[in-house]
Amino acid sequence: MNLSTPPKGSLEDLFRHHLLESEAAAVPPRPQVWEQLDNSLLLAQNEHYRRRLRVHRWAIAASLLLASLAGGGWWHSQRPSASLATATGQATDQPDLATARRAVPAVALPAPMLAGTTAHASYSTLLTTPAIDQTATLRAAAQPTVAYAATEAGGAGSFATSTRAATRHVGDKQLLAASQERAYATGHGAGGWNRTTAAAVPASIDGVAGADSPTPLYAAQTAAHTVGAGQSADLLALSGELAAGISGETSATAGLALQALRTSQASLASAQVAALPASLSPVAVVMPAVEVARSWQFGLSYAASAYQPNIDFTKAPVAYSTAMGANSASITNTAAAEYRNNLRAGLGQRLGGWATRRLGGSRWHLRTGLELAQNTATSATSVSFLGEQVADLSYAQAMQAHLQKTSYRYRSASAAAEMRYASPLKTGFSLYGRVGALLTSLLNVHSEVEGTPEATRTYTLLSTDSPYRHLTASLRGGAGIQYRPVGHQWSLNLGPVADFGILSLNADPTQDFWRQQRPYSFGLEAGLELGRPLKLQ
Amino acid sequence: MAPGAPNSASNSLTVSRSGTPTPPSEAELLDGCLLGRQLAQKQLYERYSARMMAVCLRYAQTTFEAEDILQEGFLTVFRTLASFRRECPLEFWIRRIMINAALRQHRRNAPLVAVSDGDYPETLASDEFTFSNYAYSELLNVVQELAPRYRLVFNLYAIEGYTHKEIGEMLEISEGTSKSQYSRARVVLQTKLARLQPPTK
Repeated sequence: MNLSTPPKGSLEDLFRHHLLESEAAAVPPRPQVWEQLDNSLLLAQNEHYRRRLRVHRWAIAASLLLASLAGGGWWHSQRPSASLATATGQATDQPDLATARRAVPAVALPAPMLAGTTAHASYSTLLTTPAIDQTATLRAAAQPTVAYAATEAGGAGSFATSTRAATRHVGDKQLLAASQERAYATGHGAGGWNRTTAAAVPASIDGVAGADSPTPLYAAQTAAHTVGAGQSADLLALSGELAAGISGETSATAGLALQALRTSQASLASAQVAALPASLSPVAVVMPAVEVARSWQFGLSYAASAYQPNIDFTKAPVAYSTAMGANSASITNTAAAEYRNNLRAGLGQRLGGWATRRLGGSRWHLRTGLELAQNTATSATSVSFLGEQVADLSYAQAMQAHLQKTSYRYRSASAAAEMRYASPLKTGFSLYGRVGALLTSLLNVHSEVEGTPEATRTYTLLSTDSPYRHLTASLRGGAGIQYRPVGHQWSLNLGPVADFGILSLNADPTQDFWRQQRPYSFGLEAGLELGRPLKLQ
Repeated sequence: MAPGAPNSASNSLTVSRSGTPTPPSEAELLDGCLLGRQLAQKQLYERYSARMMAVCLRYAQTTFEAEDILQEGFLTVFRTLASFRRECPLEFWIRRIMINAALRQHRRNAPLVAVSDGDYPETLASDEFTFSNYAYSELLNVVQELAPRYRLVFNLYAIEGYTHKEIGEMLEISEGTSKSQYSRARVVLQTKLARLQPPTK
């Protein structure tokens, strides 16, 4: 008979046998546990998707912004050539130039006129509109003196000369037609770009058309009125010459005007302005001087970036307080190293208000502004480390196998000064670059440990135990593309921007200055600037 | 038609029709969980939940507390599964996570628990116990009745096999403190077992 001895053992063996190795050491939990767990997993998954969706939304918004800017720029770049083509087309499509002349009123026309009347509109605006349109002003800025000369001298000298030259061949129809076309084409082709030429165009057209039309005097007179909204004496003289040159061709509709002109033919032929009627006395047209504004421009900016606080909380063991236990120093240093290893950049957002002033006549601008920023970062430690010394009386060390995620939110206000290099005149798309420095006050740092709400810490400016530096400084650099629409007083800019801390965020770094770990961020900044870069004097 | 093709088709059909589906391997479960598949998560939970519940019960005072630990532990398992390097058995890794969850739970509840050592002798003679004289539930109840700090040290030392030095580091107590607490827990357990059933000499 072989009776086996029942297994025996020490207290430890007894418990290990029953609680660890026994088949009975398996207790199925209630089904509700899985349901709760499944629900928690679903919530966590939703949160994960939500975060991803947020990132995707930002990416889509940035892409749309870029695409719209690019599309707007392309559209804008297509406009001048299209106008030119249309103008050329109209010139060839309209044999009767008087029609074009009639379509142009003597009053100021808005800048975005139909192509066929662009030159006239610019001309009329130049001569008669006291409030100069921004488009004309912008274009005139490049050559203000020339534009002024066009009005004062060119408009009365070379302009008259060219018209006279055209009228000398009044008897030759073919030559006259050629002159018409040349004058018209020249006027329209260059009207949008050269103020001097533009000024000459209507007179040439009107003068020639007057000679060629069955109502020459009416046309000539109209030319004087149309072009001479400023009542140029030379223009009237030109009308007289024109009337004299075609006196053989009578017109019933122009009889009265012809009579009046014949009466004063001698004086008009000599171009004596003093002999003109008082109502037709020359009026000096003074073009307002244009110069680049030196006043402040104001704007707003928003930046989204990846922010890395890059803090190193490790210290020499002697730097820790001994009041928190003998092992506190080593535990804290281990936790700080763990924190740093797991430190991940988070989303940084920045909203700023800016004032910009151009420096002298250069392309350099001084920008200064205030910014509010919220940056985030995450890490994970096994001891819920948030930057403070860890007491060795806690059980924190027991969590080495499982890292607890910690999240940090930094809110700050900054005063910034930058130098910005950009063209103050260029419309449409242009590039800019900037570099500057910021002085930042860390207003609030909020730290949370996942699953341990009691470990939440919030440090403010008044917190004396804050492990963070309250005042920091950093450098910033960026570049990008700027879009300034023609005729508007605002501009958009968009481009990458990078910040580099000069000082560590750690309030009490033990490393020397050059070995400290400093925060940095890389992101994309969009800005809106209000105010015009040009002003009238 | 290639020879053997019908055979392979019928084989695959037979396989698909015949018998119970083979349970997924550990690697398949892991891959499924990493892809976020709910079925894989549920299968992983069902495979290990009973044994992990037993672990949690040893560290908890009540079943509800054990279920909380189990839930928190499995949440951690699913969240950090990507960091599992497959260098050790998955069960061991999950057990370690459950222990950490239990320690965390203990730390949260420690300030709320009033601890009394009770009236026990300082030391007892070492006894030998016949395993069959005790049931799982009886021993589990005895352990659960221990004061939380004694229960922790006893579980970590006697059941899990950690050394006092390791326990001291885990609980941030000295090695001597761990030894004395374990000694005290042992006396309490011996006394309770003696009351439960006379030891077999």
